[in-house]
Amino acid sequence: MPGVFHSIKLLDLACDMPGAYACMLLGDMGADVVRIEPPAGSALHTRSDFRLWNRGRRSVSLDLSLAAGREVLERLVARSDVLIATTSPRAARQGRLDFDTLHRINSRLVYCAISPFGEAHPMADLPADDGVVNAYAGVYGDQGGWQEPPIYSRLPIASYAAAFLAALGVGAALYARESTRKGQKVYVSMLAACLAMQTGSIVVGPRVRSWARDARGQQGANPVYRLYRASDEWLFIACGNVTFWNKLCLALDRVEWLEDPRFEGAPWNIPLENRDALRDMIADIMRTKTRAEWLAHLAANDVPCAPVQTREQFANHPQVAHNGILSQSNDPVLGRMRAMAVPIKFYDTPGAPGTAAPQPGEHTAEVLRELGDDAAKTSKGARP
Amino acid sequence: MKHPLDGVTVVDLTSYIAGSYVATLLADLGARVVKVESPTGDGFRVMAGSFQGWNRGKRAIIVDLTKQEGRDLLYRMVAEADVVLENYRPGVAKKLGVDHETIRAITPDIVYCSVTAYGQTGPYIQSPGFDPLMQAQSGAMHAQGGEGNPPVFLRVAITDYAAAILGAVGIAAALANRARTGLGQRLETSLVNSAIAVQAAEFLDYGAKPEPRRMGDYGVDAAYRLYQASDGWLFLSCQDDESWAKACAALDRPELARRYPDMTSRLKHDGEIAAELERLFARGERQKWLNKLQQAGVRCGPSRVMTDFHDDSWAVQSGLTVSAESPDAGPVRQMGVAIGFSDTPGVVWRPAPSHGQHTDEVLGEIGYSDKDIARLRQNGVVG
Repeated sequence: MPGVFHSIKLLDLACDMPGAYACMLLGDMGADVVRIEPPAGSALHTRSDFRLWNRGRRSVSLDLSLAAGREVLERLVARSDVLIATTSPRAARQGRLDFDTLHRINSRLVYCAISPFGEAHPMADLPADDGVVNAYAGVYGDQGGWQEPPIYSRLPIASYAAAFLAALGVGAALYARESTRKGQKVYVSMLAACLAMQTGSIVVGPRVRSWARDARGQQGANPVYRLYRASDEWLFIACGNVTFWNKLCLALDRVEWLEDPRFEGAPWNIPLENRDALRDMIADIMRTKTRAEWLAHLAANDVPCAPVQTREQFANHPQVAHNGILSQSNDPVLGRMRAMAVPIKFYDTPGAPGTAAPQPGEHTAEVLRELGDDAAKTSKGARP
Repeated sequence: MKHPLDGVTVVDLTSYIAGSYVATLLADLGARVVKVESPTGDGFRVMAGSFQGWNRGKRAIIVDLTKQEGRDLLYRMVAEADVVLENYRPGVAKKLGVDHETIRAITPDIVYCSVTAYGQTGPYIQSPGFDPLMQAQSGAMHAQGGEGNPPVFLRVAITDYAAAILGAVGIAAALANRARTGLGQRLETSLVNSAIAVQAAEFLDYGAKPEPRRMGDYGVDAAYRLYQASDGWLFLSCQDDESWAKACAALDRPELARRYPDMTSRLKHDGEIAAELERLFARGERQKWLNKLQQAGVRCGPSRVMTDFHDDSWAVQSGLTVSAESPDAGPVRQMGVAIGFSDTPGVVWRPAPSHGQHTDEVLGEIGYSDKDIARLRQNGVVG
C-alpha cells in the first residue's frame, strides 16, 4: 500500500545527517525522493550510516556549475513539491539554491532549510555541527548537573531532533499548501530542535521549580525516579506520582516513609537536603536481591521499573519484534543489514523502508528520461 | 491562512509528556486544541512549570468519560473535530467509548492518533511505560555510561519527546493526505518506536560494523570534546585531519598537527594530546579561544546550560523564547514556536490552562446552555 506522502516529489539537497534522515522519513512515508549529487559524489557515501539515511531514493549526478546541469536542476525543481537543503544561507544564495530563486521557478515548492543555529542567529555563518549545537543548547551542561562540569552526550540529539522537526515542518507546510496553493520556506535549526526536546525543563519563572538546580548525579536526581544496582545488575525505578510512591514504600516494606516528614512532597518535591538519605536507604535495600527478583517483586506491586539493557538486548525484545520497527535487508555495500523501519504506523497508508541507498548518479539517465526529450539533450551537465 | 494548521480542531485526550506535547506542537502550528481531562486531571499537573512546556497553547475542560453524559458531550466535540489524540493504556479508550471505531462512526474522516509506550498490540502493552524505563531498556543508558561503567540517566527525555514529535509528524502527514483525498485515518507511535528512531544510527547493524569508539565524560577523542577554559567550558569539533590542522595552527600549537596528523596517530596518543589541550585551554578565556578557532574556520562553541538561551537577546528577538502569565505557574519564560515558516508562522496561543479552565466556554461553543452546564456540573459530568 502506498505511503501517506505517495504523490509527493521530494528533492534531496541535504549534505548532512539531519537533512538526510528527514528525507528518509518522508521517503519511507511514500514520497518519491530524488537526491542531487555533485559529479564527484559526496564524502557522505563513504559513511555507513548514510547507507541507512540515503535509502529509498534515486540519485542524480549533476554539475551545477554548467548551464546544462543548472537547467536539469531547475526542471527538477519545477516538478517537485518539497526540497530539503542543509547548505548555509550564504552558500545557498551563492549557488542560486536559495528559496527566493527556486520559488520563482515553482511557487508551490515547500523549501525546508536545516541549519545548526538558524539563519538569524549570530553564529549562523560560523562553522558548527551536532556537538557544537548540543554544547551551546545546554544538552551537555545540563547532563553534567548543577554546578558540575558538562558531560558529553553520546547520542547526537540535535541532529535527530532536527530531522524529526523538519519532517513535521514539511508535513504542516504541505497541509497549508492545500489551502494557499503556495509553497513556502520552512526553517529548522538544530538549536531549536534541542530546545524542542526539553520544552518541559526549560520553563523558568519565579514560582517555577528549577530542574537545572535539582540535577545531581548521573543516575538520576530523584531518589524514587533513578537507577539502582541490585545485587547483580542495574534497573530503573520510576515512581513519578504519589500513587507509585505509596506503592514503592509498600513494596519495600517501608510504610513508615509515608509519614516521614523528611520525604514530604514525594515524589517530585522532596527537599533537596533529604534526597541523599532516601537514596542511600533504597540503595541498601536494592543490594539485597538480584535484579530478576526485584523486577518480579516490584512488578507484582505495580511499581514501574525496567532493567538496564544493551541495544542488542533491546533489538531482541519481543515488543520490538512485534512492532516490526527493525527490519533486515541486504545492502550491496554493507551486506546483511539491520535498520530502523517506519517509526510511525499508519493504518491505511503504511509506507515501507526504502530500498538500498543508490550509488551516486545511479538514476541520472532514468530521471532525465522522465523530464522528457529536451532534458536528454542537456545531459552534458549530468554524469550518469 | 495565518498558520500552517489553521482551522484544524484537535480533541486531546492525553496526559503526561509524550501525548500532551503532540497536541502542543499542533497548537504551535495553529491548530485549536482542547485538552479533555478527567476530574482527577493530568498526573503531571503537579509540575506546574514543566506542564507549561507540554500543554501551552491549549484550552482545557473537565469531562468524566465514565459517565454516559460525559461521552455524549465528547461525541459532540468530536463531530466537529479533525483530530483525536489519546495516550491511554491499550484497551482503556475502548472502555471509555473513545476508541477509533466509535469516533470514526461519528466523524468518518477523523485523523486518530495514539501514542503509547509499547504499541496497541503485543506482549508488553500492559507494562508501565515512562521515558526512563524505555531509556533503560533500549540501551541508551548503558551506552551513555559505557561498557563496564554504571549506566547514565539522560536528562533529555529522548523517547518521550521523539515520540511526541513523530506523533505530530504523523498527524500533519495524515491531514495533508486528507486534504488531497478526503480520507482520514488511524495512526500511532510509541516509545519503543521512538527509542529506536532517536538512536537509528546506533541501531544500524551489519557484519563489519566497527566497535564504537571509546568515550570519556567529555567527548569522543581529544579533537572532538569539551574543554574547560579559565572562565567556562567550550566544545571543540575536529572530525577530520584538515580541521585538526587548522585548530592546532589557530591555537599556536602547529607542532601538535605535525606530530599527530591523522586519526591513527591521534588515537594512539589521545591521552597526551587531551592533557596538553586541557592545560592550554585552562590558561585563557573561553571567548578568546573561540574567536581564534572560529576565525580559522574550526567548528566550536561555548557549552552552556539550557536555560541560558532565555538571556540571549537574539532568542527574544527571534521569538525562540517567549513570556507568558500562567494561571498555575505564574509568570514564566518558555520556548516559542520551534519551526519557522515564511508565510504561515505558527503561534503560541496561550499559556497552559488550569484544570477545567475552559469548560464553560467550550461547552457553550458546542451548544450547551448555561443551564445545561450547571446541571452537568451538578451531576459531576463536567468540572
